[in-house]
Amino acid sequence: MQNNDACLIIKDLHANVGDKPILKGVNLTIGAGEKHALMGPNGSGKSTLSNVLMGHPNYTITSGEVIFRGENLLELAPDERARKGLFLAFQYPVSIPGVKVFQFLRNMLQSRRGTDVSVRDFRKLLKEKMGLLNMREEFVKRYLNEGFSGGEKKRHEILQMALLEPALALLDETDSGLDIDALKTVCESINAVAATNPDMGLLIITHYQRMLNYIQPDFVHILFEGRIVKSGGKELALELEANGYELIEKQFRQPVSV
Amino acid sequence: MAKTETLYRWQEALHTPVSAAWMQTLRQNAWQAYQDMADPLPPQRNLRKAPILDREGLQVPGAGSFSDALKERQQSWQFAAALVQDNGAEVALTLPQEVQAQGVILTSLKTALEQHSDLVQSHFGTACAPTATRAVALNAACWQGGLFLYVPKNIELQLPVYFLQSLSTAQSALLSRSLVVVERGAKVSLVLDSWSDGDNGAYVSDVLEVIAGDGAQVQLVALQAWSTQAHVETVRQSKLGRDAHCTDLQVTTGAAYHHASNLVDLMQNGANTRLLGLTLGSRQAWYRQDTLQNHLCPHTQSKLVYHSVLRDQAYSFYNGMIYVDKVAQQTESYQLSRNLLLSDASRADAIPNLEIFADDVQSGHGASIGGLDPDQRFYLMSRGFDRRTAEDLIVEGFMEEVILQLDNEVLIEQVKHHLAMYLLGQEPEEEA
Repeated sequence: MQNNDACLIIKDLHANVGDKPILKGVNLTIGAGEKHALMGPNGSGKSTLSNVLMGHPNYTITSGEVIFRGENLLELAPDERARKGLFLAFQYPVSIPGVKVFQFLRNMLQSRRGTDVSVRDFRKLLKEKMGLLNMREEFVKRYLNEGFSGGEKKRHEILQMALLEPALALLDETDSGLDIDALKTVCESINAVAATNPDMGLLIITHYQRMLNYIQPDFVHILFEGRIVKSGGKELALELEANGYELIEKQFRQPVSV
Repeated sequence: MAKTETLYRWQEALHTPVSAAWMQTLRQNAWQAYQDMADPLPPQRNLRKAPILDREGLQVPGAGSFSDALKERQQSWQFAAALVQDNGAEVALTLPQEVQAQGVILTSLKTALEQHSDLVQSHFGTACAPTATRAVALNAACWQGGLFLYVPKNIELQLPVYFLQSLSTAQSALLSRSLVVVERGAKVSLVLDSWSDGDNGAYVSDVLEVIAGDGAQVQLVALQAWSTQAHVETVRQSKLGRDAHCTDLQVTTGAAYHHASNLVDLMQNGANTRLLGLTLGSRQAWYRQDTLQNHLCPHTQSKLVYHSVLRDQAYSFYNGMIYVDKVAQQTESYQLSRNLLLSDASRADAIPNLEIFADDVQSGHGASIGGLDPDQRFYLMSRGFDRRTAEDLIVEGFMEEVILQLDNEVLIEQVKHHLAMYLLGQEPEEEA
């Protein structure tokens, strides 16, 4: 795949939860190495989009297509999507008691690479990436997300991203629940991962503009009622910050059909 | 109930005289009690129907042997001393001189009656009365196998004592009665490994009493790996002295029917128990677990965590009780039963009970029954684990949560190894 090829192409994507349509025709193209921000008010479908892209079983695709690195993404199971280089940093990572972080991370990396990674090599890599995120080594002796603070959960998600080096990372409200210092550390490490992987595409999903102070997006999109209603450069985010979502709501609110 | 001669065929054959006169009397009284008692009524709940064993078709087991399978099983453990019984008869005993020199007694209960009759008599039945229930009375009247372990005052054994018992005669009945006495300040761990091979029906009754003196520390790990058609009744009753600690892990992987009672009496101030249970049910297995955390004195503590993983048509009924006497102030008790259902036809019922008569205590209880969490599965799959691996990881984590509470690295590793071997044997054949 060449650098200038699109990493992800979403065409007229419609998706439901049960009978309720949430996504109503999303169009979005992310090129390799591009940083996109997806903003929108609560309930606009931001998290649905990230879950649909990762393949969460609760959503039904009713029409549209998604091409990821030249392949039809929607035909793949979540684990296949992951192995092909798609990554989702969860807004609310679940805890899995009894599963140790160290073993989990090592197995995860092995399944992504399709080869064994020796404990020694893995320790070395892990140490490097954890240093990047200001994480203490004791962390990996704990159980997956069990008893993690909000900040620890988010750091752990970004640690996984740093280890996996995905082709496209979806960051679902990674800023939520972080205080300003933690947000800064997390954003800096996202930037560091992006800098070492210049081909990595990023889709930053967020409600607020503050995360974009640290990560400069190339494009900003506004999702409203299941559609991208406005796209632009990073100035769009600042505009939103100044005016709030009210203007968008006035301009794009669909009349309710009876 | 018709008490015909045929009904008591194997029971009478096993109700044979023993050497100690006091025990002979005790057996006769128990036999009488067994005949006079009615079977207990089933709980007034809508439980799944238990499988029925044709008891009349059973026979007395033949002579025991120390088969290669038993040797292999024993070799997978590290131990300070070991006893192996097959069909209720002692077939191997390892008791190194240095352990014996400390005054530790490990022997079959039958042998103990010949050599240490007074010692056995002073403890036997003090934790679990010989006629407590009909099943216990039958056991007292007819037991053949079982061990006697005695650990004298202030003696600490680093490695566990290992007791392996098996049943190798098909369609037979095995009754064993064990007595463990751990004196003041002594420390011991005991692995109770129960195993039988094949698919033959059998009846197993196993009663174990543990008497832990003041400050004693006891760890019990019981592996119940009876054959898939066995009907098993186990009763464990422990009596804990002042500041005594007793941790007990029950791992149940076998049997068609297993009714386990696990009762702990916290008799003195500061006694502390941790009851752990891990049940892996498959096929038509039917399990029932009755537990009692009996707080009879102030400042006593108990914590119970029972997890079960049920596949196929397996069924589990958890029936637990925390009892806090009115003098048992400042006690802490906790009880949790969690059940993971991995198939549509598996089922679990859980009844956690509290009876608290003291007014200054902490107590908590809970139960959960449900399938695999789809969000956990999705999370793991989104990290590149295929569906099967993701599910295995979640189930393993669910099991490890219990095992890791053992506080004994060596035992944790060995129990995990045992489970891994069991799960390997359970792997469904790969679809072609």
